[in-house]
Amino acid sequence: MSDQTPKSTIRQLLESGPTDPVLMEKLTLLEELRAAHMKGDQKTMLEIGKKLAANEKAFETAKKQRRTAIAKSVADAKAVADPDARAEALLSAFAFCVRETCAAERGGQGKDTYNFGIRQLRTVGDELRALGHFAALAQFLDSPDIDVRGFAAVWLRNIMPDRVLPILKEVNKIESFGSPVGTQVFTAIFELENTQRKEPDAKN
Amino acid sequence: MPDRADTAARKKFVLWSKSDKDTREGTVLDIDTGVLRRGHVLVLRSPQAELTLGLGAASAALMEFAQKGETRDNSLFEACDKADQAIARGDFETARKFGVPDVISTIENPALRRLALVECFLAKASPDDPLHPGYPAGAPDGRGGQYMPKDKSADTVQELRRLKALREFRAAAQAAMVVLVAAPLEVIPGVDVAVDVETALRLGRIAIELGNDEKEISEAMDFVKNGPYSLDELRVSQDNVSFPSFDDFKKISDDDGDAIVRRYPITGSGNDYHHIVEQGGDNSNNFTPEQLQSTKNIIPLPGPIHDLVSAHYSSEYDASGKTVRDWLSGQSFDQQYQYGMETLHKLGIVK
Repeated sequence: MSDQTPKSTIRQLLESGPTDPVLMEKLTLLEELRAAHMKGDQKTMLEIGKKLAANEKAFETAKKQRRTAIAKSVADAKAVADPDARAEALLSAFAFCVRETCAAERGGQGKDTYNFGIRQLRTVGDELRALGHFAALAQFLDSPDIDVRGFAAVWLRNIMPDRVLPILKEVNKIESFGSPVGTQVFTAIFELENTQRKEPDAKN
Repeated sequence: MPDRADTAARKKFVLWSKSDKDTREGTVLDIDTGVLRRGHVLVLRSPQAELTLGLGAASAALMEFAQKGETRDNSLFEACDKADQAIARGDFETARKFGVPDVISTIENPALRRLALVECFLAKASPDDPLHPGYPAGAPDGRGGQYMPKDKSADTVQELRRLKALREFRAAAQAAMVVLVAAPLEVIPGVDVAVDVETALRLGRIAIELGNDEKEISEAMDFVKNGPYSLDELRVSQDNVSFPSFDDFKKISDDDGDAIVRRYPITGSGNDYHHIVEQGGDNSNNFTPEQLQSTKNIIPLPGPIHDLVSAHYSSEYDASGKTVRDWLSGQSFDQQYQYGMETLHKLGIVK
């Protein structure tokens, strides 16, 4: 007979994929808080509360650092003087932003961080378009990284729909609902199949 | 400081304490225990008088609230004060809405009544209250008065190790966690024990929240495990019935025994209503209530799944600068309905 406490559903869920260690520490503290609450042990609850506060600060710091890194990658790329070199730097920034944005979402850093990453990707796209290098995102359509591949396909859907639609569908089959890239791909497929074909002139 | 209360009120207060003994050790209020605990108010009773004693800043704050009604901008005391004022003006219905049992309303001594209210509000956040476990009344998140679920450990989900489902629910679980820690816990003082009382209350709510999430997510996983469902199985009525407003829909669906709808036909209790075509934003202007508030458009979903769908709709989409929700609002009703159905299909809820 084991006296080991069964894992909570939430813990099982969180442990079923990559998870930020700070988030897991938070869960552990919450579980300890719950146990103390069940015992009516307010002293322990307050002690755990202080640890939770510290954990929350660490979590917020990590989110801020990630956003800073995302924004810096884009700002640095935009600052490159030579147009061709800038385009290269922007393409690198695109892949970096995709990976960091998806990692933020998977690590539980919230929809706000995810949306921040999407906005940075929009900036990269605008810059590439201004340089006449937007179509260069197609180099990512063969990327082994499904996130990068999927995002590139979404970004390119209006200028090369026939090429990207099979890629979008392939990603959609693999990615579950609500995953960072799955959200984009799911909506892009719907848009291509239900909207864009009715408006053939609405390309970029 | 001595504090007199008439015998009848004292008896009623003891009755409220739900103790068949003469002494009671409470969350912040102890009666005749003979031990003065830091952060607690001790009421010592004799046939002639009642003596109220406190030790520490928390008890000083409690006694100040009890005797003078000073709330110190403390949300707990403010909630208690609102309930107390309702009782004082004879508005017992409002007091009940705060979750205050009638017996407290009958305590005539204002100081003792305020102490009872604080104890009541705190006890309602305690899992060891056999009658009213759960959130404190007047909780700002609107959950006041809701009952805390009994802790059901997670052993029933051991079989639910379907990777797909687990992966999908991670997002919901994580979103729930973010919500859990959103409380301003950094304001945890070491010396101001009066605030500690509120902090303990808040921490208690978070602990309860974790238990609620645990239960909800387990139920949601069961729901997914038993799916997918046909839309007819999910609908509250097979007839296409429209309503002037969502409140009207809820009013009728909440009326048990009503023949028009089956409340939560598949998903059991404790669920959210989901609009397949969302009711807010531009949709509220572009579509009629009859379109939006109908048995065709509204289905019940377990809370975590509803959260998952809402999180998807709140994601910014592509370079548009719009969320999926905003992007969708530019589509026709039929297209939005189709998108909503495809979402539920992708989620494994609808066949």
